[in-house]
Amino acid sequence: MQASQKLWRFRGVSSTALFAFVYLYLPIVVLVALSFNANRIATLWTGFSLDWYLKVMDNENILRATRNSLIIACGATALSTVFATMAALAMSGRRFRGMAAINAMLGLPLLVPEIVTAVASLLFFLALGMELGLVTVLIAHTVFCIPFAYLPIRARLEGLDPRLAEAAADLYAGPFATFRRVTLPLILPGILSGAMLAFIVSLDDFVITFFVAGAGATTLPVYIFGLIRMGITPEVNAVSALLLLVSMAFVALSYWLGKRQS
Amino acid sequence: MPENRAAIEIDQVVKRFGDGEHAVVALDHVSLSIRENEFFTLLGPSGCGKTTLLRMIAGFEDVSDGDIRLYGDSLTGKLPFQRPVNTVFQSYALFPHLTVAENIAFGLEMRGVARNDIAPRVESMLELVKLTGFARRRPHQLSGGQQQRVALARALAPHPQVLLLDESLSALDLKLRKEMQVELKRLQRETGITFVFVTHDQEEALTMSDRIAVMASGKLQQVGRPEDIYDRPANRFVADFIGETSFLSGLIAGDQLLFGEAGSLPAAVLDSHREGLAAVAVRPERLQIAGNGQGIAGVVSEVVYRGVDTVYTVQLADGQPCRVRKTNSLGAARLAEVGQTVRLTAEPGAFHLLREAAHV
Repeated sequence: MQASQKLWRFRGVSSTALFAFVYLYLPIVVLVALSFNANRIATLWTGFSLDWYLKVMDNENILRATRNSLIIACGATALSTVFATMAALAMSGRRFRGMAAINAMLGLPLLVPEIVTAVASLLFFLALGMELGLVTVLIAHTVFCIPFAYLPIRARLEGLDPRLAEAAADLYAGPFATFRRVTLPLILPGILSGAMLAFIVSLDDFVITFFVAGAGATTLPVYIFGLIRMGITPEVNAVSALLLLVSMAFVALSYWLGKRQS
Repeated sequence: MPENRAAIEIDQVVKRFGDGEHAVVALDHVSLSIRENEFFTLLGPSGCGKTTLLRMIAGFEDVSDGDIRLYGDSLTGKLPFQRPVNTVFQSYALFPHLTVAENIAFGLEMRGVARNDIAPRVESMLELVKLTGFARRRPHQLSGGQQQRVALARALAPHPQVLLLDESLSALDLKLRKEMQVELKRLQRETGITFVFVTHDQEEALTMSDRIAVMASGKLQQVGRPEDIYDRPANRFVADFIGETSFLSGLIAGDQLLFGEAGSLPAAVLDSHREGLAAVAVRPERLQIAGNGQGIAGVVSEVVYRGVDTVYTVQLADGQPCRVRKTNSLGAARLAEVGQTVRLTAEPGAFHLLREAAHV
């Protein structure tokens, strides 16, 4: 291909790309910048300050919501990753009737409108007579985290040479030893990136949590929503910036793990 | 040499894939016996069932019908990890997350070999395959030939009763493949382990094997020593698949083998005798070329110089093509040019009389 035919040399490509990036990231940059604003009025810049972060650290409600978020995210991550790994193992290495249907059902929660899942979950818990609280949020989160955890694990298993498991069996490893010594270490990057995806999705969730969380099970996104109803304060900006930081750290870690293995 | 006892007996083995009317028969009542300490090769074109048979010995495929026995014990119902045989896979299937040493130690660990005995064993295996000093490398840091050696060491380390090799050399380039052929033969001699080798490369099979089983479309064609298979192919397929062969049809009448207008050769050129129309096979190197005199007549239609030898294609006077190969000596002139009329003769026994009737 001649250099002049390369896509990035077409007129307008770089300006379009620039526009796209600004469109994507400018609001976030503004939010983070304003979290360092000294002024009480969030949109009026008067000077640099870390006050709002200190305020956040002092706010017991925020800390409690953060703790709830972390408990739920960790629990949902652990549970959904285990389920997703088992599902991916069951779906790999063989063909059976109805396989496509089961595969579609495993991915469907990604396509169902979240509000539908939220209302359905709420009705379900009420029908069972369950009290809304951390447990119901944990269950709901585990459910919608499964497909997110499943996809990277499945992809990793698909890329695994079936001869490796055969070689292990050939070298006197029973099914469990084969899994522990060969399959598991090789799909571990997939499991970790699935788990991280599940963690982020759980940490960020608002709609479903809002419906199935009772009093006392308020998570960070739900709490932020509550704060905003009283107007956007620099405090909200600071919490959001912290949440962003955690998300970015996880994405980076997941990327690094994926890179290291390939 | 006394015949060794059988290590593996394959008894009327059938393999069907799928079921009912749509079943595909991959192996059709194959029976053969592989002797202890033998370098045995399963040879055939792709899809002939040789790899399926190997995988059945290893335990990766079920036997649909019949039985496979290892030193008299039926392997039916035994899972791969319960069979004292090891496999060298075509793709090597080295564990990418383990070092070379850990790969080789894997089978030993799984067999419960004492930890203190593993390290020296791994070291001696590395020495055996000439990879001393590579213990801490990972498979992806090795060349194809080195990976091949690790796969061999890994499969030999637990000292299996039989080593199975699935097209193990096909991924290597020609030079390396030749080296490994010699190497495999040496390993087999030094370890005294029975090797069952699968290949589609007839030259490789002839080079390395004590005995060869030729297979085609799920059926066994012939089992024998390389010389048997090359000199006395059981049928047309074997004669065609192994080495170069010209197939001719002629008429055997008394002490003459007649080729219509081309003339005749004495019937003594045949390796067996039968009156009437006959299909015969002859190796290009078993024919002599002469300017005139005795023999069957034909016109040279092609001359191909190949360095070691020159191959002449001769159109016999009765229309059948026939090839002659002559080893080139230093500075020797060509025996014939295209368009030249020549006569072909042969040593007694050079023509192999095929069992099947004459082909037209």
